[in-house]
Amino acid sequence: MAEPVAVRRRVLIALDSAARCEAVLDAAVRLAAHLRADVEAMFVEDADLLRLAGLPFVREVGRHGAPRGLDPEGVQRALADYAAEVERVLGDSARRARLQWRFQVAHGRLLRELLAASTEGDLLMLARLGAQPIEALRGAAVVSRALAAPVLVVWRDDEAGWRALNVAAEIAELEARPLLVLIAASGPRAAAQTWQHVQAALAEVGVDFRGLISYRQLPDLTPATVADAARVEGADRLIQTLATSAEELEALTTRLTCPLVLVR
Amino acid sequence: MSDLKALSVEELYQRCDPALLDFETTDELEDLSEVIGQERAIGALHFGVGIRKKGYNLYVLGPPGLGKHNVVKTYLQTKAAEAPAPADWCYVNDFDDPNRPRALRLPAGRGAALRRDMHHLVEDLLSAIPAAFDAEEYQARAKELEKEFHERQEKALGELQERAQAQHIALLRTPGGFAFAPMRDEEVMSPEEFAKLPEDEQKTLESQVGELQEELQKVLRQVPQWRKETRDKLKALNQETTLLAVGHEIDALRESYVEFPEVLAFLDAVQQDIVENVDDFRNQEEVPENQLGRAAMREPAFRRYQVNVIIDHDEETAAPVVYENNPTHDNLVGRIEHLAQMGTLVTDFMLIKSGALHRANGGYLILDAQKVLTQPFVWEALKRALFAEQIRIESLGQMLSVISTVSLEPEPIPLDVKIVLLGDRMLYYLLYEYDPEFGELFKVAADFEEQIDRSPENTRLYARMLATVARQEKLQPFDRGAVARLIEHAARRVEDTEKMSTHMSGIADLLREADHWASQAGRSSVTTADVDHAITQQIYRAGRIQQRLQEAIRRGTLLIDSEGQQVGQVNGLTIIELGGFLFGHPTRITATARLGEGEVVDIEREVELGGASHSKGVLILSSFLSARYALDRPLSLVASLVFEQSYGYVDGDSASMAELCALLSVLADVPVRQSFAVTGSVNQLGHVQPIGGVNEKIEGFFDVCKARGLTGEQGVIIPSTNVKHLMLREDVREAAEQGQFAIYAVETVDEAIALLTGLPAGERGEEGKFAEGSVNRRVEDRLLEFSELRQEFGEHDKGKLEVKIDSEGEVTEVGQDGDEPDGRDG
Repeated sequence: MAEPVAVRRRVLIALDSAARCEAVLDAAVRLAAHLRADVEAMFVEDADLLRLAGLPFVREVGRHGAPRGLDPEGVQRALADYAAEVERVLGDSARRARLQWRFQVAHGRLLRELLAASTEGDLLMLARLGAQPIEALRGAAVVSRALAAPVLVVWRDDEAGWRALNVAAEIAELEARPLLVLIAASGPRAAAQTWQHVQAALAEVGVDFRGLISYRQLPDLTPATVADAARVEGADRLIQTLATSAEELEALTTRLTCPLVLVR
Repeated sequence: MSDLKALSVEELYQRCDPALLDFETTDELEDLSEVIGQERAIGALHFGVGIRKKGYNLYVLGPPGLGKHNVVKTYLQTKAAEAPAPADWCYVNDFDDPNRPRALRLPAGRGAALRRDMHHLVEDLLSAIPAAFDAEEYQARAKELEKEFHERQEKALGELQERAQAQHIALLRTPGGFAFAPMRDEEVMSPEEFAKLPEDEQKTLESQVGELQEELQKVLRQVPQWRKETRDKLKALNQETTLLAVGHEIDALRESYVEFPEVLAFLDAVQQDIVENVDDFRNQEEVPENQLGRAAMREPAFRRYQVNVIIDHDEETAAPVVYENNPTHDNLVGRIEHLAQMGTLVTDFMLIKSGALHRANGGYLILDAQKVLTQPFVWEALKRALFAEQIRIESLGQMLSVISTVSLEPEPIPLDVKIVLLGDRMLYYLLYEYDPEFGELFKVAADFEEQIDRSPENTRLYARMLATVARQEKLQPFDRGAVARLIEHAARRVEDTEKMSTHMSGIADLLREADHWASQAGRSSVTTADVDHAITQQIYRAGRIQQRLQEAIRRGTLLIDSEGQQVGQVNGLTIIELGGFLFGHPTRITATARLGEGEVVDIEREVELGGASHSKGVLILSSFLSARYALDRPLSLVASLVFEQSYGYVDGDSASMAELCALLSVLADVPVRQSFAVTGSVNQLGHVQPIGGVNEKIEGFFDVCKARGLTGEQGVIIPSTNVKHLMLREDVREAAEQGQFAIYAVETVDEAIALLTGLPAGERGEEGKFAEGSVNRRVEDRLLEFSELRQEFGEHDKGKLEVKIDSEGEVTEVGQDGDEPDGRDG
């Protein structure tokens, strides 16, 4: 098992009114327990959503195409209820793991609030409603049952990229999930060479996945390509270095269908 | 006086001379493979078994103990060995209608093979199918479909989003769906900002958002159709993948069963079902390799691919011969079992169990007729199956509506079986009489003889049969004296010096018991003495009641005279059979007679203790009296006959000669010698006819006399036609030889009455009168006297006065009709 590459004081997770907060919070708590860090959750009330609700002519169109009116008080109440639910779930999970935990409610944009609240040494997680499809293809059993949803990591050959890879390896091993490394390369040969390089580096730090590590060649690492790969692979999480532009991160979070872990 | 001679000792017993048996012990005799004396039954058996036509089933008749079962089973096994093993039968699931399992016929041994093959198929598919779905190719194609579905959504939303952005409107995701909002400076316009806009601009914005919302609604309403299309494609992909995994596995099976179209159809159905329910295989929990099979069998979803081999003739080479000892409805036609699950009873084709008809199909089924008839619904079920020539398993509970759970209707199985019913004759004749279908279904009767001729040839065969039984039972050898004694006993069992019993069960019992006593005596072979001892012990063990009766006679509780003379009193002889033990004992028969209208009253009948045969015998006496003594005038007496101290049911006419003698005695006023006992029936001409149980009857009276001391005057009068049935005990024979006891055989009642009274019976002379002083003359005179008296009474008072003649011959007035005052009875 790989040793934690750096001492992390806190796992900070920011989430909006995304569904299934239990799974995300549970993963954050497990990660914090593994890192012997505190866990803190931030529920971000989306400012755009609240403003939207105040507009008299705007109607919410349900996923099945039925329109209905939006009531500001109702939206506010729903967000407050959701925040309370997040706090309860986090508390229960952290207490079971005997972890220090904190919870706060912020108002604004999710990524912006997360970055504003983060400090050096935090491991950041972000889960948002984002760009989930109108409807996922449930019940079709597309992805093999035998294989758990993989942890994806965006490989960049720099220091931050290596840290992201190490964190991804830790998470994958901790949760017994396959690790899929997204490598940008012009062709298969270049990708294979990079992959050999990555494998050797991982071996040096003692990462052993019993064969549950593989790579996927991508033409580039633009937010659209990465988000698309995450969706196609049915990713459980995407690990990404924070050393990218805020615009790119914003674009990524709006498209991503799984939680994002940001590594400084 | 009678000049009738007593029977000689030789006439009392037909010995089997050991010197005629050409062996020392039964060890020297060969086994007897055939059955002796049953040619008719065996012939019928051969015929019935040989003819393979509908309705030619057999009913084997004969009382228990003749060895019918062994004979039939041995013969059937011989015949069955000449035939090949019949087909295996399996039940499999009908995937279109699981309540109607389908029957599969396969050559012997292939049923079990198919069961194994299907078991392995499921095991293989449990790994092959998940592997096929885990394969890169499937995963890639499935993901492609998913991607296509998502891209379709994104594209539609993206286009809408672009149109909105051009109008500075953003498409936002809300917790419940989507919404369009006007934007200002990368943020959603606040309500206050909106309020500040000119009215025209507000309306324009509202209109734009409204249009976009409508477009969005259209897009969202298309999603279910896209989803359906994607799912259909995915389903087709799954089916294609499953077929690839399943196809070659099932193709291998198809090659093995290519000559069985029904199996091929079943395999097609299995393949189709697996394709349609492939998720059952994909969703299995991972189990260790060595437990995979068990896991598969535990999983109810895979039961439907199993094969229930209800008839398995694997490694069998002959047709089956089945004896169903407990032919209940379910044991005969099979049953459908249920399992309790979650408080309810459930079943499936795997819970179908075979019955005796299934097991015997293609061969022979032996059944006990009485058991078949006494078990509820079995006879009807058996007939239904034979008529329809198929076995249809029907739940009795369902049939009677006592169970309301869902049950099955398994496909009937064609039936080709020869039924052999074993039973007694009474059942056969009753069935034939009362069940019109019986004759159609059981056309062959194999009637077993209970006795065979005691010819020299049969005697030798009988000895071999005894030797065979002794060897089979692992008994000591029997010396020829013992064999001779056994043959004599076999004749005694059937009460015929010229016959031998074929009651194998009784004979085998005697052999075993004689062997036991020989062993007790330390002998290495069984001798005459051991056989005698075994017979004596059998009688002793069964003879408690006989002894009590003898004791009651000896102590005077039961009044039987064995010396002296009495008018109107004769020792009759009766036999009692209890628990298979037959014994005789004397009983006192008395007669009274009085003036009357020619009626002989059977008191036993009046009190309903007499059977029809007995009453017939008594009525014959009346005819005899009329025919012999009162041809030209009315018979003017009322006579009463009674079995004294008889408290049970009396039947048979074997006492009619004794009754007639008692009646003649009282009419003639002649005493009868009580040292005689009489047995035999008479017809209305006075001829004596044979009776049954003659040996036991003679021995019953002999035992009484012997206990009191034999006087040399005592004896028994029997019908002469019974002489050939005499196989009397040794002590009776010895007494006869020494002149202490005599057996007289008579042909007419006149011979009997002469012996009993010591007077001549008398014959009619030239004048038509019986000789003076003869018994007949005295009887005729008395009846004439009655007739005249009756005539006199008739002239005086219409014959209302009755008289009684007591045993002393006194005529007394016993009553007068009409002596009631006029008008008393209205």
